[in-house]
Amino acid sequence: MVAVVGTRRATRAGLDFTRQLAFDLAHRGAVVVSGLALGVDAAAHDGALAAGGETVAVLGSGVDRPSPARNARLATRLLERGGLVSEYPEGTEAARWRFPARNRIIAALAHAVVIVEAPERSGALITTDIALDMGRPIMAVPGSPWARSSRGSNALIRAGAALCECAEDVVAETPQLAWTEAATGTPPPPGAPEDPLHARILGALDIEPLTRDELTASIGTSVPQISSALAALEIDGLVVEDEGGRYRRGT
Amino acid sequence: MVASVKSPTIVGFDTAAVHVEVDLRPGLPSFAVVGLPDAAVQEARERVRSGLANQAFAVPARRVVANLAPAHLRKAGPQYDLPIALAILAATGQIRPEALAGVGAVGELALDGSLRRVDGALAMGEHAVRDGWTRLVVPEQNAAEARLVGGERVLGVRSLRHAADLLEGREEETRSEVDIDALLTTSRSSAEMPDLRDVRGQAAARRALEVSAAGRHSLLMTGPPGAGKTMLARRLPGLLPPLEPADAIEVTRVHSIAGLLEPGHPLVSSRPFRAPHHTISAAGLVGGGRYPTPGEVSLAHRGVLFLDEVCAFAPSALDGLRQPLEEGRVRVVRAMAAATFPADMQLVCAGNPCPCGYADDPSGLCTCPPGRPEAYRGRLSGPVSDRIDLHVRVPRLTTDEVVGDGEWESSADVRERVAGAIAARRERDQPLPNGQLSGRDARRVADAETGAERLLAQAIDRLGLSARAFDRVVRVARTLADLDGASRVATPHAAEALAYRERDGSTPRTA
Repeated sequence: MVAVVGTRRATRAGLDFTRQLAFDLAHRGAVVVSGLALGVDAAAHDGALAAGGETVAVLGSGVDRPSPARNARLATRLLERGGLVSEYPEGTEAARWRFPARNRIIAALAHAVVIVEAPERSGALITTDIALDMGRPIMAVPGSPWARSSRGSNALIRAGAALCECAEDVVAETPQLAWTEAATGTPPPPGAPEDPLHARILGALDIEPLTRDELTASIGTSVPQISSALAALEIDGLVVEDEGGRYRRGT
Repeated sequence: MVASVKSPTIVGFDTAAVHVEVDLRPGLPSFAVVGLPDAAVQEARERVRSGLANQAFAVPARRVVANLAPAHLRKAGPQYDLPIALAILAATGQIRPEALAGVGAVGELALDGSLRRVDGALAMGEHAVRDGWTRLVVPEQNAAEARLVGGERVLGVRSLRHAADLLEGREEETRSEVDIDALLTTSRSSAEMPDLRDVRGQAAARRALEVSAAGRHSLLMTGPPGAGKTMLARRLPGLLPPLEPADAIEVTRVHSIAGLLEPGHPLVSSRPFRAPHHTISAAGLVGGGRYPTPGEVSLAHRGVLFLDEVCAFAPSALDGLRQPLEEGRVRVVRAMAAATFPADMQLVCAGNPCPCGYADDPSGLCTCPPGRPEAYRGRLSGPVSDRIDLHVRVPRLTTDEVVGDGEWESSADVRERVAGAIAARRERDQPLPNGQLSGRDARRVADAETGAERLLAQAIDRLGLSARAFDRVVRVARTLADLDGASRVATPHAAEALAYRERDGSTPRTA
């Protein structure tokens, strides 16, 4: 079991990464544990379910009262593949103070804890503290030095947490688990794309995410050409656009 | 002795003739107005009495009854002052009753007997032509506007005395020609419109604006505050081809009825740009009032309706956009009357990604609680977002763009390409702009090449394109091909069109 937790106020990039990570972990046979909260937690459950994997949500309320309401449908799907766990009797309403408490159960269940995005004061950091006490390996996903939403997770890396950039990193950190091989035939087609413009776009995006305007300026071509190249790359899954209009390399 | 004169009146977007009859009966001096008059018409009695006296006419010391027929039609406003006064003059023999034969009159009287402008004079001039009236007497401030359609039969008058003298032939009228073409070219050329040259950066949004103009596609710009969304939207009317004379008349009619014509500008000669505030009510946006008057969608007819902060508009107001967007007109049904106004406008919306504007900005400046950005964006779902073909992100400018002194393309250059695309569309005998085509028609005229078709099929699969979203992409691709001078939609057109599709949460893919 791998816990994937983070802030409720995640960035689009953070959510996409979480979903992808949980998806890949579930593919490799891991059960993804999280807390059913909005943001990173929900993305983690969702990614694991999308892979047809199993995932467990630890609740701060009775199992018949999953919260928040917005994730009620997610909770129903969880019951089909995985489950809801709670230390509280049925009928217990969610309460603020119960959420930090359920974090210790997440930490206890997991063989490793991955923090995706966490600001300086975050419930996810409570989970890490407890997990540390229990001797669980802590992994953190690096965020931009500008992003407040990654201050906490970046601080963990400074303090010695392992770096998590993909599912492979988690696999390497938990050799005791029975990982299955990566599914065959799924990696993206290797090698450089045939179209030279595509190759230049991918080269530019390898360094940092860019908007269409920035790409147009740095490559020195027209918006129509860049737009149509980006759409083709998107279809091939090689780039994704985030909510802020920036394109980055797909995983 | 009974005398009568006709008076045109505005009923919604249409007109009707009101017969103003005046009868003088023996009895104690009195003055009554009957025929469903509202308060402003009732007050005509005081204005008419003062106007007559101050223009040195005799005020009849008898029982005066003015009847406005047909009696079932509600009469509103001060515009009946002049016809009532003229009918009194005829009934008292101060002008010959024959002088009013075939004559229509409209105008508000000042207490000194001079005339004040009325709303809707252009439509009234059109009514005079349709009903075959020999003369239409209007306040001189309205004369140029009424002559646009009414021609020489329109008589602009300064005062009650002036009207009487002209009708009796005691004074020569001063003819002034109204040349629509000249008004269209001179009064407000597009040179005075804001130019794209003044907008820095935003290459992608500029392109979207050009595509929007070329195919009349609705456009949604999303980005943080200060990125330049409003500046861009204001430049869309200047990218569209100039108004045709017939369209200018129709637009002027709407603005005239709404009472929004500027003095000295009898013709709305450039495409309207309307940007109502987000607190506007549904009635203000689509039209309303006890007697229906045009709303912003109609004032933007043949022009651009810009909704800034579109997610902050009342959902009920946005829902009202469905009919105008689909039919190019809007039917307003109110307690007193129903009316249909033209509302063939191009919709441009701008929105922030969340109430504070910084959601998903890499800086993490967003102060919204979790879930609020999603809820905020969700307010746009439904009738409006379904009709928006072009979705474009307008990110904050980089430092280079803000302080740099780059040369940016001017509106004139873009307008030329837009005109070319419109000509290409007309050449294949397609009357509707691409943005108004049904999904099936769009696929037919797109005539996509095999490569483009394959790409679009992949897009449905891998990008999770819905059927509606697919139709929108095809419409945009057709416009891109038109801009390119291509007869069929090729792969680059289809691919670029995909870049303007609506985005939602991304789905994981196997890696």
